Formats: sequence, C-alpha cells, structure tokens
Amino acid sequence: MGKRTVPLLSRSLQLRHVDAGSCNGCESELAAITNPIYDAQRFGVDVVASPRHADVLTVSGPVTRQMEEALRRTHQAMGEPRLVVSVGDCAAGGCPFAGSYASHRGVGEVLRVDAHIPGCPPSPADIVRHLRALMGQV
Amino acid sequence: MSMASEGLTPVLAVQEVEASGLGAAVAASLGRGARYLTMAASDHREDEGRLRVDVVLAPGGPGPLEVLRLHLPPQRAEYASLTPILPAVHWDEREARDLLGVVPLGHPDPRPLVLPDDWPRGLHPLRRDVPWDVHPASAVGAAWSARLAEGEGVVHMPVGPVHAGIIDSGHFAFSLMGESILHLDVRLGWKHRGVEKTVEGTPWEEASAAVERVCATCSASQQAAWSEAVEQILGWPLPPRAVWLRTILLECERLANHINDIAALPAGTGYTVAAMAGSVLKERMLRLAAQAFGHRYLFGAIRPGGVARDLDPAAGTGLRQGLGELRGDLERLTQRMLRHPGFVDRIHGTGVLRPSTARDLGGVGPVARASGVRQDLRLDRPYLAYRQLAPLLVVEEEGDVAARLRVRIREAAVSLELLDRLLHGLPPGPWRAPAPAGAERASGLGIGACESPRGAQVHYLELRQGRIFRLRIRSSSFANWPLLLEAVPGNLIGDFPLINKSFELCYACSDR
Ligand code: SF4
Repeated sequence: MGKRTVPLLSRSLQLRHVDAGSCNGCESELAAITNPIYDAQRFGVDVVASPRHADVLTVSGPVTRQMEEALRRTHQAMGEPRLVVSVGDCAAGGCPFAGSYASHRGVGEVLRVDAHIPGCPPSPADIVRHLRALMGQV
Repeated sequence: MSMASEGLTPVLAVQEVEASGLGAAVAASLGRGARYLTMAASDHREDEGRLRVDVVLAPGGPGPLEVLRLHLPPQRAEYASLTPILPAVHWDEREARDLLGVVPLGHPDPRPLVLPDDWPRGLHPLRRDVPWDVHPASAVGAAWSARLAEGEGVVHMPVGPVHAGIIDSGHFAFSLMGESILHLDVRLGWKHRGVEKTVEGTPWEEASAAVERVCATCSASQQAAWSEAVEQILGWPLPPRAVWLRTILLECERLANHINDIAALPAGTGYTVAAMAGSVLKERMLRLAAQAFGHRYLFGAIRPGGVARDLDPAAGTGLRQGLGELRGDLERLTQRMLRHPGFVDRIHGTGVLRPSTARDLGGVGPVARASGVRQDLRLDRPYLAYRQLAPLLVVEEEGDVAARLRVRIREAAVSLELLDRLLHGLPPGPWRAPAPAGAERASGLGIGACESPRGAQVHYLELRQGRIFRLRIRSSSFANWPLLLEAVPGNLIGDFPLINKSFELCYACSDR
C-alpha cells in the first residue's frame, strides 16, 4: 500500500513500466488493467510511452544486474514528483533467483520504493486497487 | 510423460564422440532424418577432470533420443563449431561459451549472448567452482556491439531495452534506409537471472516452484517438460487421470496464449476494437484457468508423478461450459478480423519468413508451421494423451503475418475441440503416483520435451543423489529469435511491431 501519496496525483496517474527481470506474469497482469474489464483509465490511470510523461515508475522482477543501469536512467528521466511502485513478489526480493551472480534482491536495492503491490503475480484487480490507494482514492 | 513408462524401451541412446568427429556424427544423424532438440554443456571436472557437451537429437521415427556426447579437457575446451552444419545451434553455442567457457571454433558470432559485454573474460558462472553469488564489479551491461548495415544514407535506430508498452526488456538495433529496414540485430540477456545456476544442488522435490517461474505464459509447459525429465530418470509412470489432466493443462495454456497472440495483432495495426475484444476473451480464459486449477497462469499445477491437485467434477463441468461459450465468441471475433479490409491489407505479404529459412534455422511451433514446416512434437513424438487423441496438424505455406495468424486461429479451434474430448473422457482414479523407492537419492540423465504454445520446450536434466547437477532449459522462443531477424529486413519500420507480435517471442525463458 502507498506509504506516500501526492495530492497532485489524486485524479490522474501516468505509468511507465520497466521489466527488470520478470517471468512476464506481472507484465501480463499489468497490461490487463487497461482492458475493458478493469478499465483503469476510468480512475485516471494510464500507461504512457515515455518516462518524461510519467508520474509513476512500475517495476517488476528482482532487478537483474543487466537492467540496473536502464532502470536508473528511466527513473532519472522522469520529472518530479515521481513515485516508484514495485509490482509482484519478485520486485520485493521474493524472486527464486534473487541474489544470484546475475540478479539483485529486489527494486529496493536500486531505487527508493514508495509502494509495493504483492502477489505472484498480483491480479489486475489488485493492481488497480493499489494504484487507487496510492492516489488517495480509496 | 510416459516415455519412461514404456517399460523396456530405452529413452535415451548416449553415444560418445571425439571432438574431431562431432560434426560428422551430427551430420549423419540429420541425414537419417533426425531433428535437433537441444544442447547442454556441463562441468565434470570434479569427478572426471573434463567438461562435457551433449547434443540431443530426436530420430525421424520412433526410437530413443540420440545424445551425442563430447568430452573436453579443461585446458583446451574447444571443438569445431556445429553452426555451419546445423545453424539451429547458433545461439546455444554462444550461450555455452558464455556460461561454461566451451569454445566453438569458427563460430560466426564471437559476441556474448546472455552475459553483458563487460563481464570479466574467463569467468564462466556455470563452472562449478564459481560461486553462485559472484558479483564482479563491472558487468552492468551498459553497452554492446550491435551489428549494423553501413552506407550512405543509412540511419541506425536503437530501441530498448526499456520499451514504450508493457513488454519484456530487450534491445533492437535497426539499420534503416528511409523507412525500409535493411538489417536488424537484437541483444538479449537483459533478463538473465541465473536460473540454471540457482537450481543447481536443489533436491528435485523442491525445484518446481522455481522452474514454473522461468516464464509465466508457458509455465505449464515448463512444468510438464521438467516433470517428464524427472520421471524419466526415476522410472515413474503416471496414472491415466494424471496423463489426461496434464494434457488438459497444456491445452488450456496453448489456448490462453493463442488468444493473446491473436488479439495482439490488431493492436499492432491500430484496430483497437478487435484488440480490446480479444483482451476480454483472454481474461475470460485466464479466469477459467484460475477457477479450474487455482492459478491464472497455472503456477503450481503440475508436479513430478502427476498433477498437484485434482479437478473436481463441478470445476470440470464449469471449465467445459466456459470453453464452449468462448469458442463461439472467438470464432466471431476472428471472422470479423479476417473480413476487415484495412487489417487484412496490413498483414498480407508482411514479414515473410521463407520456408527454407524456417527449416534451415530450426524454427519451431506456430511460426515454423506458418512457413510450411510440418513439425509438432504432439504428433512427431506423441506423449501424454496425444497418444490416443492426435491433434490435427495445422500448416500454412505463405510465412507472412497473415499465415502466422491463421495458424493460431486454426490451432485454437483444434485445442478447443481437443479440450472438449479430454474433459468428456477424463478417466477416474488417482491423479498422482507415489514416487518410486529411492527417488530422493536418484541419479541420471533425463530429457523432457513438449510442444508449448510457441513450439518445442526441452528440459535437459542431470540428477545426482536426488539433487540437480545440471538443468538446461531450451525454450521455443530461444529457437525462434534468430528467425525474426531474417523475416524483418525488407519491411517498413512501421510494420515491425506487427511482425514482432506475429512471432510473439518470449524474453523471460530465452534469457533465464
Ligand atoms: S512476482 Fe511472480 S509473476 Fe511476477 S515476475 Fe515474479 S515470478 Fe513472475
């Protein structure tokens, strides 16, 4: 759940996503939040094609060493205020492969995380609920 | 899968070859009609003082899988690259060079595949004396050397590893002349998590949760291939109900993927209505899977010896009914798509993969079948319930985006048909068999293979005293990535997303 809410973002939240070593399950569920069933746009949530347009960086996976730099640069490219949301158990360090020669132990080792959405993977409904909480809508 | 339950029929035939004779042995096997399945290098310095390379082929007809085994001295771990005679091993050889330091002399591509370019030379993480958590200071993967076309007016366009949409991470390097793509190179490995090293030493009973998380969209196929490899080593036959349930799981997974991949295409042409309608059908399929088997992506569904839980009669009826409703809606959607003139115009003649290229590079699954390759493990080496209920082989000849779409549409219909028969004829009885005596200390080599939604999925597994000594996973996407690079040049850059989606390759299981 959101530890930090930003009043400015209570009605509109633009997401940019970085896959930092997921199994693609979290991507599949995240992509589903904008389908007609979950329709996250009705709550002001949308996915944007550039970090420069984004308020929130969603990150999945344990952060592989090879994605670390790309993740940092994507984060730096975002304007303030910006939030980081880790999506899925892997992103919080629960990946079975975390800590190997190729992988960190979660997003928290690389960026300050504002909110976490647990699950393996979290369902689209879970993701929408957590994002709305982050916006202070629920 | 119960090749191991065939009683006296040997499942694997291991043949040791000299480094100088490997190429000839592979060529002879291919000449007899064999098909390449996988290659695995492993480190046997502790007990044998040498490294090992196994090349696994499936014979043209029935009979054991052929394992051509090469031993290499650690101080000169080299052999003549097989890529010139068997281009399908191109990426396997690069991977083995990265991870085990086994050098294919004369290989056309000297670059790393899964490790970053700045990874220390000589440090091969799958060598057994390299610690699992070694963290060299360099190796952050910032730069790589793309292969580019050069010339007056040629523009280079890098894309990735982070993408505009919600997809996996990977890097494409386009060489363009105006809007035409002259050349495409790809860099994967961004998602390399060290899966295979991580599971080394794990008792087989405890490894399923890691194996099923290699890739969510083909998780059931991963679980099935992994379980088959374990069962082969242990000589562990499956009860009939488990055979049936496993097949149901695999077909549910195929259907969910085919629906996803069918819906992804209109998204690539701006035909949003169809893309959205397709995304609703996918959601319905995931919900059916969750209701019947407890997880939308079928995590935790299959375990060595059977399945992880039974399908109760009410859930079975619900699944059958739900699939029946889905069938009509999917048919209506795909018919509408194929009547949409703008959509049809975009997909015809786009991204052509020539049949000879698909065959020569070892393409698998719907992508290969859309280029005329008559290959499907469900028919070529029948396993599970496919022994009794052979699915129809779906083949198209044109090799363009439209052909790949038609293959998936027709295969989805075949899956629905098959699922109906499987659910109708589900035999009673136990859904899991107890492990044979001594299973927790078993040793040996097993090779599990199944036809995942994207093609052959192969798990090469060596157990020692009940623990994983080596697991190599060769996924269908790993086999098909090099084909994409052949289908793209000559097309317009604006058509790339469409071509890419028609291949629908997975990064997670290719990178591991
Ligand atoms: S949390 Fe689960 S679904 Fe998400 S990337 Fe990790 S293993 Fe995959």
